[in-house]
Amino acid sequence: MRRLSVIFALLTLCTGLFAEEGLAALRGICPQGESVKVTGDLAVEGVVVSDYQTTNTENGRHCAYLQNPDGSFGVRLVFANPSENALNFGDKIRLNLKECTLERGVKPDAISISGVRARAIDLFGHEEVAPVEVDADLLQDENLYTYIRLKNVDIVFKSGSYTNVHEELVCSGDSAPCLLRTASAHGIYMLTDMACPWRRTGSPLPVGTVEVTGILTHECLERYASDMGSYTLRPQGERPVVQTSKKQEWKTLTGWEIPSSTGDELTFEILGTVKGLYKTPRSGDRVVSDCGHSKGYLWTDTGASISVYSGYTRSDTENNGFSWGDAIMFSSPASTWYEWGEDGFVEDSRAFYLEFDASLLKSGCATLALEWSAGTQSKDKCLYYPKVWKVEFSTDGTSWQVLPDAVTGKETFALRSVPYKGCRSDKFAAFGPSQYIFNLPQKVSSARKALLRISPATATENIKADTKSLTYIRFESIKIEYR
Amino acid sequence: MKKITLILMLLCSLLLQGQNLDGIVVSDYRSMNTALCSGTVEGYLDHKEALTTAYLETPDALRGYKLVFEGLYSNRLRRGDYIRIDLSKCVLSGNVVEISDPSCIRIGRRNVPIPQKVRTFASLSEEDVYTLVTFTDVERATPSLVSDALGATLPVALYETEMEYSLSGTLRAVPVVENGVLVLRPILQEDIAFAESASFRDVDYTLTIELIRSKVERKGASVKILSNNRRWFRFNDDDLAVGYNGIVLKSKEVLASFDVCFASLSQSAPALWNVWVSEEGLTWRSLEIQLKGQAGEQKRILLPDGTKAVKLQPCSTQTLTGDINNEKPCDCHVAFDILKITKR
Repeated sequence: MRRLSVIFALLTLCTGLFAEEGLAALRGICPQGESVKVTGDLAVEGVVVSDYQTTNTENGRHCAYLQNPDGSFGVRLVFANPSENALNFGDKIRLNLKECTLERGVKPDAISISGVRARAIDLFGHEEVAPVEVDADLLQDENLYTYIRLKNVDIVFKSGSYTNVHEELVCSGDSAPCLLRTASAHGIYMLTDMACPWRRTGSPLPVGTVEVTGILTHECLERYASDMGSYTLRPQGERPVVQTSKKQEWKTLTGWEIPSSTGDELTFEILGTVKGLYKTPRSGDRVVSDCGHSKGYLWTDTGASISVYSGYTRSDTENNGFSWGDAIMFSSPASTWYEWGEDGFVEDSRAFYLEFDASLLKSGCATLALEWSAGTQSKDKCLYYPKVWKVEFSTDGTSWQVLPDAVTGKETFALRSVPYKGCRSDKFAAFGPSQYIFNLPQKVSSARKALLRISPATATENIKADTKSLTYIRFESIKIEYR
Repeated sequence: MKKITLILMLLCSLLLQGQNLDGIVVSDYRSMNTALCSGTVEGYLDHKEALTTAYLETPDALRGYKLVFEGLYSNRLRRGDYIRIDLSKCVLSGNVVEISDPSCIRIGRRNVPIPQKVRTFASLSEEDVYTLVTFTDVERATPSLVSDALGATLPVALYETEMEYSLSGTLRAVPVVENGVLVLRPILQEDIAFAESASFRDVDYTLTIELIRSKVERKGASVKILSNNRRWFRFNDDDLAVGYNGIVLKSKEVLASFDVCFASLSQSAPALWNVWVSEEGLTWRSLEIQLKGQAGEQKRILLPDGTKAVKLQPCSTQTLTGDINNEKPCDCHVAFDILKITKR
């Protein structure tokens, strides 16, 4: 629980402290997990690393970022009124914190300063700011709210654009996440505002290793289950994502991408290749992988109908960065996702299963990457679906090991519907398919038969034993990759 | 040679003197009440106008200037700063100075006393605009009107500035012209030095609504009347509006003023209102004052000697959406932030 304390600070007493540590000295006056209202004059200095005219900040013109000149520490500024933020990238400012509130987090240990007013800001210069280069696997809390160049990452889902959503349905000022993966398979979401001109140019996204220049932030977006990990990245500049190597470090072992070239067909283990699946769904069979160099199988024990769904487009109004968003869709009565006891309570859940031959993996570093969504963008067909899920791994089909989300470290993750017209404010609607990765355990590379189970982790409030309404779940992409 | 150099230097200094504007700053960059802010940014009021405006008066206090800065953080002038502006580096048109480069301003001394210039509302002149003017015996009549002891009123801007009702005292403010209207802008909270009881003191009144089946919510000086739009009017046999129903405020005491400020009205509410007065509450005399039925419309109306009752009544068949003769009955509310009467 946060405690609001009041400090009386004098500028003269603090001058020495700030000269030595810069903005990091603010940690000394605000304990972790607490907030402090500053009632006396207390000046801090720094360089602005955001631009009020570009929109890719957490909350439009409400937010700006200030860092030490050497990029060693940064803070977030939250203006009381967005019209009072006219800070340009590289502005050197002196900020009087009087009447501001400092808030310091625990995990991550980040400082945010709210209630900032224009009259508290003195501009005293301008300088070029170079990003601090950071290997994505070595990020730490001191990098938060600073201008960095994140190195050694790749874009996990490369179809379409950086904002893989149908922008007509997006609320103004919202951002879309694009999942980046570090060399050691940690995930970090890169958040892009719909007003960023570079977000969809029509060119394919880089397939090799990239570096991304921007501000490291910590954000909680309710549309993405409120937890986006300790670090998120807000790219800045006209060309923030640069390919540094064309070589694909991550190779696909097996997966389902539903390439547009194959249109509406899927290959089943028993039935073989079937066309026209958008009209005549199948069930009771296993879907054979369509990418990678090893066969894999995907199925569910819910008895769901399996079809190809291609009605969901992801583009802006000018079709830049257009992607069909073809997906394998599973639909079954909502109640089939659970096993029900006689008392009407959930006893267990049913699942999606993946089977693949892991002996072909040369190293132990492998991930499950999935991009999925619920519903059909229709108001009536996106209400009934399990919202909290888990991924488990097994080599024998009897003992299962939960795999944590490689972004948040949590054992559960979310399924979200995509919005439909007239209901953009639905907090359970993400703007496009949600992207996740999970690290497979080291022992996977020795297993000839590896199994993954993706199942609801909790009961869902509006799904009962007699709920007949259908659950629609779409995998835009699901794949096993390794390096 | 020395003489020529001396003459040249003297000429140069005279020329430069002509390009400078000296004065004392009467505004303060820490105030948000320096200018009318219109427009919005991301749904919030745009403060740019207030943040980039300063006022300067000549040392003799005979003329005032408005300084308009280009940069949001460029204005750092405090009240009492004696400054010199190099006019060759900025644009002067009339008494407005546009400053894109703040280095054209040199601050000399700080905390320079500002000459006190006392005026009444009636004696304010064009030369007083953008200077700091002192008014005595001032009180707040309605949300955006101040009144002097004689009952004359002027609009006042009070963004992030507190001004109590029921008190009176000295007001220091910069008169500015906004949208063609003279408005007083107190810059700092200390500009409002109210301590005495107001000259116009509120009196209790009985409120009578002449409408049938209306519901009245009254809290202090605010009043809300919920009714039907047609009940504000009287109709003849041909269903044409021929008369009006009003709101009567009656007191046992002799009244000095009637203060009114409309809050919000339904679209079907009367668009024009008239003020009637009476000495005994039976016979009424119109003051020939028309008030527009729109939110924010406000006035302090001085009442004739002997007045003990006031009536506010529609004076036209026009409603905010059209003519009552062509309108269907519908719910209608008329609300006032201020509906009060005062005595001396």
